[in-house]
Amino acid sequence: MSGTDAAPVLEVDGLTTCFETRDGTAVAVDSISYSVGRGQTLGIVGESGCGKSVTALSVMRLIQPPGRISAGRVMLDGQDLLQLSEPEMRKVRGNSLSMIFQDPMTSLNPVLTIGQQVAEISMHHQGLSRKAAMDRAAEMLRLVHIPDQRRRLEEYPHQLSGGMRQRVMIAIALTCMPKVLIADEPTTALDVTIQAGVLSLLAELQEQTGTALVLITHDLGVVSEMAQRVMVMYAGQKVEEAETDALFEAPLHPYTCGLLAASPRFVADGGTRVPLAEIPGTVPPLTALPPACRFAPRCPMAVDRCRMEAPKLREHRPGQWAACWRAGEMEVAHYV
Amino acid sequence: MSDIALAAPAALAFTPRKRRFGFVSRHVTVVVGGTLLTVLAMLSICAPLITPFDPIALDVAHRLRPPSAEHWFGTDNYGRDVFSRTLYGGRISLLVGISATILSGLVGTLIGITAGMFRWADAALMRVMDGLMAIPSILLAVAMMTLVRPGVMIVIIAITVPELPRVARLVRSVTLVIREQTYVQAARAIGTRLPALLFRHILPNALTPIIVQATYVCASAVLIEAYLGFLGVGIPPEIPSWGNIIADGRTYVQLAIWIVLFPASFLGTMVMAINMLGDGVRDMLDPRLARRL
Repeated sequence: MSGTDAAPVLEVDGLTTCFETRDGTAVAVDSISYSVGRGQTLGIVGESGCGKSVTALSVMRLIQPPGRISAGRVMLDGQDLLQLSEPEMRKVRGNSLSMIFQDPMTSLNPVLTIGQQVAEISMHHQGLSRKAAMDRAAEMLRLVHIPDQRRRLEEYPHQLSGGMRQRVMIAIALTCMPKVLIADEPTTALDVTIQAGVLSLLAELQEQTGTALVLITHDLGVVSEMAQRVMVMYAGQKVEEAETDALFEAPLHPYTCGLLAASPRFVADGGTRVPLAEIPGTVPPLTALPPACRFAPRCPMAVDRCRMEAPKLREHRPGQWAACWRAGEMEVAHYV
Repeated sequence: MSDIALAAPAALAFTPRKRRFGFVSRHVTVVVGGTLLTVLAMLSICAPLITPFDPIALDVAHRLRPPSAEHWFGTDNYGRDVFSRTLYGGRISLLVGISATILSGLVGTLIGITAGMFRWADAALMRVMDGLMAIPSILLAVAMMTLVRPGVMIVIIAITVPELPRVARLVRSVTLVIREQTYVQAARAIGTRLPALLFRHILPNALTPIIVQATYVCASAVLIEAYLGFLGVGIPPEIPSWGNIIADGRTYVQLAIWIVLFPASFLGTMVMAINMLGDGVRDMLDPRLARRL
């Protein structure tokens, strides 16, 4: 893909989001920083509950009370979104910054036709008339390879399959040619065969429009196919960031190693079959985090220092950052 | 058992035909309730065309007459025609029932959606609703009668106020569920404004339970209107309403049961019809029972 070195369109810097709970303040996103360039794809991976979706919603400023963004900057094309008023932010959402949600079965309003929902965005942001917006909607459906667009526009969401609905969501998200598209697990709820179709569609449209893509997923296979850079999150923090190839070849953080060891790999006949590993335990609750390194209780490499002092994010190899005292000492095979 | 197995293919062959007649057989309650209600409503609305008697014209010469070819439901202690009084009484019941339903439906929905959407309004509004729920409509009606001239409007308000919280609570809880749906989140993510969010995304999805609740409010409004009339704190006595007629006739029950019997059975039938309609509509719209569009 071209344009990898382009100046970043989206720059997130020290983004911190807290939720006030009965047990105290839970920091769901803890000073996350990343940037994506035009036409680039950044993968964000991590287990459930590690703050991937909250990061995405924070960038969209869709966090609702009791949650709030307590620090950081979100620069979209040089403009800090966190400084905008709510009406100004509404002009940004769906226009230069769009989002696709995880579950296509519930992402569309069941009582409105597909046409009404796809047309809504261009009526809202581009001031098109109803008729012009419908024409635009039909064009968008054609772009996401939905056949028989005019008939589909008249239909209701329940008449469409899951893959079809996710295509409609992509059509809505891309109607205004956003600079950045955040896709929050866009294929998790879909069949594997349909997943491939949706992903290749995303890649194809990205090539056409030059949209920067932030792809949130827990599927490392998807990341390796789609992303140039990958960011690994654990318990609200960034633990590793690297070029995709470097990360898959030589992960630095034991958590990344664990994720790689836990993902199924296709082994052709004759190759050695590697059993799947699991990372023992679960992500700790955000109100009861370990004092130093948050991964230490589950980490096979943990030493005393890990329980005393939190490791800082450091560039261990060119372009490859990790927050670990023993970065690079572990190999994926250790987990097996 | 074998009969069923053999019959199955034949049944399948008839599916299209069955579906056409399906509505009546699948939704018996809706059809029966709706028909009864329509008949009662038509009788009341067209009362002047159906009955030759003025419901308030006195005819002392023919007092307490049993049902006959001339006076189908007999006459009361002033010689007024019970048939025409019953039909005209139905107008009041319908008017009060429908007005109270619309009023409590609109205001209750507004309050419920506000409480469900805005955290700052929630606690305050719902405590006020709890307070309103504690006021019995009969006491409220009595209090209002002593302050202002009795009339249909007073009765409607006295019924609406205690019904409001029921609608508001329901709408609030439904709103709380819908606002967390992904499609509401997705609508926010494309920059949808609050009014559009409320009226395009949340309200239409909350409509089914609101409609069902409205039928129950309507049935209880009709009933409460009759209570109030019976207790003499409802519709003024010069206007015939089912409650008034029953109240007037109660002292003559042993002599002339028809004065009470006919309006009472009309009242019962109407309340039953509305409830059946509500139950049926609920079953019909319940997504868990196979939804056919």
